[in-house]
Amino acid sequence: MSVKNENLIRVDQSLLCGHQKIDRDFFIKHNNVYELFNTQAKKHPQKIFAIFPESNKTFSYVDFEKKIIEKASYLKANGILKGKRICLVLPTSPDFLALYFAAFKEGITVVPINPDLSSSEIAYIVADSQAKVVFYSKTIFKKIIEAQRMFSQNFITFTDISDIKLTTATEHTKTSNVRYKYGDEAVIIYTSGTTGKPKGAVLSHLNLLVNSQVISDWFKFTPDTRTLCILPLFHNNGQVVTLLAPLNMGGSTVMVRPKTGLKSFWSLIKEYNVSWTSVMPAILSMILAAKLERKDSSMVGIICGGQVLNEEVKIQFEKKFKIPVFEGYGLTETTSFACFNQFPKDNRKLGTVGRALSCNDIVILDDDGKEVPRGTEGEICIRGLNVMREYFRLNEANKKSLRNGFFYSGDYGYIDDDGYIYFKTRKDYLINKGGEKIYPSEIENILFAHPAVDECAVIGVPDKLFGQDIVAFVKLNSDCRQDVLKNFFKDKLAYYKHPREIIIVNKLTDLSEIPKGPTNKVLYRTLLEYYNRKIN
Amino acid sequence: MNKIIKEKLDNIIREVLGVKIVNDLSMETVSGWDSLRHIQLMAKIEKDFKIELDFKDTLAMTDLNSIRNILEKYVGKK
Repeated sequence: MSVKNENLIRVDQSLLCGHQKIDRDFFIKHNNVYELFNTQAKKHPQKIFAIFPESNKTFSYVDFEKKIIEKASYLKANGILKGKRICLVLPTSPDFLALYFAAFKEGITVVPINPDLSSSEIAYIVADSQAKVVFYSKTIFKKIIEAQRMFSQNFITFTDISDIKLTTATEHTKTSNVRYKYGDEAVIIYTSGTTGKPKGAVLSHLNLLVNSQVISDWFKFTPDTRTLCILPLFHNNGQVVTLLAPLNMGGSTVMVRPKTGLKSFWSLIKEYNVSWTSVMPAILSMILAAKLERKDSSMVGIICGGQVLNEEVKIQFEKKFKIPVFEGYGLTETTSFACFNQFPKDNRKLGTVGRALSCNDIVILDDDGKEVPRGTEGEICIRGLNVMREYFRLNEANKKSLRNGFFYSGDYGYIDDDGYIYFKTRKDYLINKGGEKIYPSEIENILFAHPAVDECAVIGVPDKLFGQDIVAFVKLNSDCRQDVLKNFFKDKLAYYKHPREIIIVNKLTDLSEIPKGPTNKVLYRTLLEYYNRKIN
Repeated sequence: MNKIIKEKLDNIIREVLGVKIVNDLSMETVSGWDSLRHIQLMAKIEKDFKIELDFKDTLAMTDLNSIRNILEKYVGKK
């Protein structure tokens, strides 16, 4: 690492993987995410860092630093040290945030887990991530007990967050910072996998620092920027865009649980003078559908990504609320966003997901790995400092997705002559329900286990609010009602992954079999065409 | 909370969330209690009890007990 001046660190790209390198210098301001927080806390200790309206708690930077140090002391005292991993199965809360930064202070990796997942899904991620400790909230106690039973040995500690005994931090804990490199692992975020098992995207401190820094720069965040974090912290978008990006400038974040926050969306923005938020397109649709009225005059813009934003929804939203929506595109594997439409709003090119951020290059490659001419459709491939190091312990998935110096996204699109990127479609059959990505195999694996099911296939169908919803086609070997099949998912799969509808093909007059190709592969596209034609 | 109000609230919860009323009923234990259902639940409570909930209260109404306690504050005023 070489230092340009006292504030900037030139990233030594020789230490990075091939798909993380760009052919230009890039400078960061901090070595790790805790250092980012700590620098801001020193700069303006009394400034507000985070507000939790649900519990009516407001923390200044210095207040929150105390919480972080307390949690860091706890981790240390309990032998949870550098190089270990902890799982956080917690809702958006001060505890989540304090443990998140405390772990970074001690060089521990954070594996955030959606508390809505089933016990078996939670157990899978805990086991796969090789975490040593799982922190959970009392409200999901029953689910955690079931997850715990799936481990034959007691080598993983499950800790109710309300039971942890904090001790006063010693001077040593306050001042000692564990030394580690910016390329070291910071978080592992699990994302849906083609086989039905989630894949852990390994993101380093560098990934988080770089991505949050460029987002903060892109939208010209200032120390007065206040974001509303309404997306869950177990996803990258919530962590990077509405927590770390404002933190880069010493800004602040209003944190609410996604499930309860939507009803109060405009009230929260007005009450706390929020200037930015980041949402999934489904949230814009829901705000319109719920006929919620804007009350503030503080909002500058809304960042939107995670799924395709319907043009009509965007037009209606901007017309009704007079707030510009800035669309972008990115994946967990690119930390969060890889490209954005231009800021301020008059520079936007509508219908596109914008241009590549300065930390990464985006190209369109054909099936032979060659770059296609501008305007030609192909696979969107990304390389850069925000691209994950790898999928955790998944050699085959890494070989498939990380090759020729790029991350192959599995998404198709094109780039126009001005460098604007157009998202077209997925290469595979990934379902995107309100921003939650679900592979059909996750649901098919459950259905296949039902004794009455001979064959099944799951597709994503258009949905007005969520963009897509889930429909399953099944062929039965014996009589079974739809509601019985639906009930079969209970406790096996998170509720948002349950099919909206299960269609029994034995009962259809014009489709007696699940359509398959010559190699017996399910023809998902044919099924979707059938659904759109006959059932929708 | 008096019996009539409690029953009226239980009916609303049963109707919107499609669940049986149990004491540990919460956002975490009812799988279908998502953001859309929460909006519907709050809207129905406001409509049927003819009240307007403060937004901070709607953030805190995340389980049966908190809904009962917060609602009591409103219906007690009437």
